[in-house]
Amino acid sequence: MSRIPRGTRLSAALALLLCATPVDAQVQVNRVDDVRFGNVLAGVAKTVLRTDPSAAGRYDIITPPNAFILIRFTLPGVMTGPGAVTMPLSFAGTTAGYSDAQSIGSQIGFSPATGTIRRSTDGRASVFLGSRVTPAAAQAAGSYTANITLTLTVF
Amino acid sequence: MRKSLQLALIVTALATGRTIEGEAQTSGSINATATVLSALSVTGTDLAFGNVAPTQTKAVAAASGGTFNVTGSNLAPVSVSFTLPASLGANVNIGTWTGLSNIVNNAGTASSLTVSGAPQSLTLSGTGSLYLWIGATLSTAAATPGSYSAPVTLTVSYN
Repeated sequence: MSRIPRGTRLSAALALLLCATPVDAQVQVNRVDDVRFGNVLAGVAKTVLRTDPSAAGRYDIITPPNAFILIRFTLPGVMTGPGAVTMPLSFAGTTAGYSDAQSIGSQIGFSPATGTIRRSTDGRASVFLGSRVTPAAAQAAGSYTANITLTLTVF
Repeated sequence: MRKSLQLALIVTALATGRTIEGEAQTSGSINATATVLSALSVTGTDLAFGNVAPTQTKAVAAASGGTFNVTGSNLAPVSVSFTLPASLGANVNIGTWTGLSNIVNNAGTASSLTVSGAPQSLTLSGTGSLYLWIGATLSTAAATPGSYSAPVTLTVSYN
């Protein structure tokens, strides 16, 4: 019996590993940027546009190439601040944007409330997000946050 | 799976919110962040020249002049500007404004401040305070005896 050269055995092992990679491992949603409202005055609403490079939220997604993908969000209705005080947060209209080119300047807008179906050509894309905060006239001062989840389904 | 069937399934999933067997799914989160600033407030005490002769020039130094106390969000940068009178009445002119600023209520350690209508950037203290002092020179020329006054307005806004 002839011996298998060492390099050949390694190649075979790598090929087996790649073949065994589940589809789920090729599907990722990565946080890139938060939606940043910065300083907000009580009683004065403020909007972050999905096209604002300094304030828009951003997720990068990875999928198998040419896959149909479904993008949906879990949207909070409020931000939470000091002492669990809340502040209204809204996502009206096409405040989300999909970019196959992963460029904030090249987006297809969609409503984050309903989600969108896309086909990612090379398996990489970005999703941008804006929103609007509406502090009350007597809104308590301090830092407020809310968590916004993007769920990606690949078919 | 045929693409048309795939698409039909996806549309169904989007419309109904249901998931479909055999799909791969994952999720990720970002945050929305905001800082609500405290309302700005300004209180003050008068710049008082006291008694002045009908014809006289009298200066009041900033350290012993009028004061403004600004309160707002801790460490917040603000813009300040003044609306200044040129006179307190007929033949009673005011000018040559001087100013000081400090984040603590101590004119002795305060920094020089230009008192004018041009916006200047300052920063509130760690407890959200800012103190300003202003002085000026009053000039009377055969002024009619009596009391004279005019408003000095400080405008403060967050940068």
